[in-house]
Formats: sequence, C-alpha cells, structure tokens
Amino acid sequence: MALKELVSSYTGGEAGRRLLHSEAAAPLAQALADARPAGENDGGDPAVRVDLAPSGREAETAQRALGDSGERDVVVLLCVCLPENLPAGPLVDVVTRAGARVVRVEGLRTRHARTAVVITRDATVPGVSYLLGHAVTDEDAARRRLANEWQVEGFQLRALTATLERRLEGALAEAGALRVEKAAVESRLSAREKEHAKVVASLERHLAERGLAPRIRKAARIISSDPVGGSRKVAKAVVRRASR
Amino acid sequence: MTDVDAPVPGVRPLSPDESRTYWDERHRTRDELASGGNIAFDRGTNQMLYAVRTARLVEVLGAHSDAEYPLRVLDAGCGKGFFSRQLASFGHRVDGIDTSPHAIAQCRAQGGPSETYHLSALTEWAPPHLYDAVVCIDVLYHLMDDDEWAASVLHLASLVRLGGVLGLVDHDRDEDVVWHDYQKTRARSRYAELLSGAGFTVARFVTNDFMEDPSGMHVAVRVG
Repeated sequence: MALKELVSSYTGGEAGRRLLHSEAAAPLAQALADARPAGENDGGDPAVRVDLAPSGREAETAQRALGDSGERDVVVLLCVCLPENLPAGPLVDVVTRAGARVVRVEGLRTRHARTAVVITRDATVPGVSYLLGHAVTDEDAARRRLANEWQVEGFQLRALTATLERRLEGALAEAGALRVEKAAVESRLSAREKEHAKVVASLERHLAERGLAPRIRKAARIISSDPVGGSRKVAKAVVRRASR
Repeated sequence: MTDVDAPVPGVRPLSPDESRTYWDERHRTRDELASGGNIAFDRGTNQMLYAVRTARLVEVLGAHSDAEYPLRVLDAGCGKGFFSRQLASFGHRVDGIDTSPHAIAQCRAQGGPSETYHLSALTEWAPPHLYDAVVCIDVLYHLMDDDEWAASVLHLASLVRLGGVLGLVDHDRDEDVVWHDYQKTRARSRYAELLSGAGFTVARFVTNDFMEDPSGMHVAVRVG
C-alpha cells in the first residue's frame, strides 16, 4: 500500500484528523503533501502523527509518539526495519502499557521505511485485517475468535517456524560441508595437474635429448595415412631399434 | 456459469459421484476455458467471460497485494487453475483444490511458484493454516445434494481467518432453482442463514454482469 493512501484512510471521513509529522519523518513530507511539522501548539484537535523509527529504536519512538498524542490521535509509526525484523516484544510492550492498540501493520515500499505500524487509543478506530482492510470489531464473538486463532494458529506458526529454522540450519550445514569438499577436490585436482605437467615436461625433454620427437611425428603421419599397413611398418621399426 | 437460460423441468439430479465423473470428463475433453466456463460460448466469448470475472475478483479481494508478504487465498474448485494463476499473478499465495485428477494435473503443469494444487473435495481440505480469502467459483451450484452443499459452505467458511473474506459464486435469487441435472442455484437467504451462523456477515453480491449471466459472488466477511 502507498504511504499516502495508508495515512489518508485515517485523516478522512468523520474523524477529520490533521496530519502532522515529526522532525524524523520530515524526509517523507513530500509523500505526505498535507502534513505539517508537529509543534508545541498543536491544539486539542485529533491528529494523525507520522513518525520515523530507525532500526533498533522502534519501541522508543513509539513510546515518545504515544506520549505526545491525545486520546483520539492516530500514530503512524514508520519503521526502517523489514517486517520480519520488527522487535515484537518491546514494541507490543510499549503500546500495551500506553493503553493503546495496534490497528494495522503493513509492509511499505518507500525509500525511508519498510514497515508501517498504526497505533491508537481511540476505541472508535477499528483494527483491520491485513491488506483486505476489513474492520475487526471489539464484540464478544470477534474477541473469542481472535483468541482462538491466536492459540491454535499461533501454535501452528510456532511449530512451522521451528521446522523451517531446522531445515534452514540443515541446508546451511550441508552447503558448508559441500564447500569444504569442493575445496579439497580442487586442491587434489591442482596437485594432479602439476604432477601431470611435470611428467609431460620430463617426457618432452627425454624425447628431445634422444632426437625422438621428429621420429614420433613421422610415425604418427605414417599410421594416420595407412592405419593397418602403417602400424605394421612402425612396429617393425621400433623392434629393429630396440634390438640394436 | 449457468449453461442454460431456463430451468429444465423434471430432471433427476446427478449424484455426487456422477457429478465428479461428469466434471472430470468435462475437464478431460474440453479446453481450459470451456471446461469451467460456458460450453455454449465459443472460445472468444469465454475468453471475455474470464476477463470480466477476473475483474470481479479484484473487486471482491481489493487491489492491495504484497508479493513479499502475500495474502493467502484458497481457490476451492479451481478447475484447470485459470483464476488461481490470475490471483497468484496479483501477488497472492494460492492453494487450488479440485476433485478432477485431469484438472489438477493440468494445474500442476501450468502452475508457478506461488501456487499449490491438490486433489480434494471442498469438505476435505484442511491445511494447518487459515486463509485470508476463500473463493469458490462456479462450484456450489453444481452440488446437487443440499447436505453436501451446506457442508461445503460451512467447511470453506471455517478456513477463513477473522477479517477475511469468503466469496461464493451462485445466483442472487429469492428461491432455489434446478436448472439441469448438474446445476441447482440456492436462494440468497440460504447463504445468509448459513454464513451468519458461522460468524460471517454477507456484505454484498457482486454480479458477473456479462451477457445477461445472472451469476455472481456472495461476498461475506468473518466478523466473529
């Protein structure tokens, strides 16, 4: 989802919230054309407060943003980190102790931030389902369903994560072992190539000393022109030479 | 898609086994559009039909996707996988199920990395995860047995997470109608009753709006 669209879903409609951004989020001001810097004299009107959290400072930034925000404000926390690296523990802790709810989390494709976490104390702002955007109410049936999904699917995801981590560790170990084996094979091959080169050089020296190289080339020409007769001729010549 | 324009009186409905045989044979003998589309249409018209219905799917599921952190979608009764592949091309992760071995074989041959295909009836598919969206396109009105129909709707509903969407293709009528020995449409009130008891609110009916085809999708959202 585009950042502007995400933010405008909280500024529009009956709420009519103003759009403010922190100093840290100033690089994104262009993408948030209607935003103005948050200041001391913001007044009591509800606002959407956009803040930018560097990696490792998500919880701290959320705490500060919630500290500055009123009961009807919505905080859009833009995190530099990737969604899979969100520090769930500290972030959830800060939001919960501040009496707020996370109503939406989505990936972003901006240059400055990759994850958006939307937080509010306003009970009229519903949580929405991921990407589909359907409101999730606070009624008994919804709470019961949410708790049941958290238990059952939460456990299934925990088990799946553990299985995938084991498979990944296994695959990495196998890849490491293959790299070691490859290096050993390359080393043996290199040694053999050197040995082979030595033997060839020695043979060539031997042939050159004995003046045999021209004779060998002549024999090869004779055999290639007449494989059967030529072979017999060359074999007889070799025998004659050996018997001298 | 409804293949006939008016109900055929006095037909004996196909049994579940006969129905599976009929559809497996249809998938085996007809091209990928006619096997699931309208056998009365030529290929070009079916091509348009599928294009229009793909647009309706976007209307139902929304235009937001994220290929890195995708929505998980079930195409229940996927046939030869046309809509599964379309949904995957939008960035979603798709499971397709069907009872036709011919259809599933073709899906697997043509499928990409974001799809998986499985031989399964609607009531038998029970993966370890929940779906963000379950769509059942042109299948439920081919279940002639009411018990099988109800069980299928409820089972598919059970696979949807809170805030997720269930899209079920049928007609939007006041009463049930038997069109053919392999086609029976159910009243909207029957869908509403089943789904509200299962924790859904029926949000709307998205009509195909193609060449007077009365089919469309009952769109329901899980609220509890």
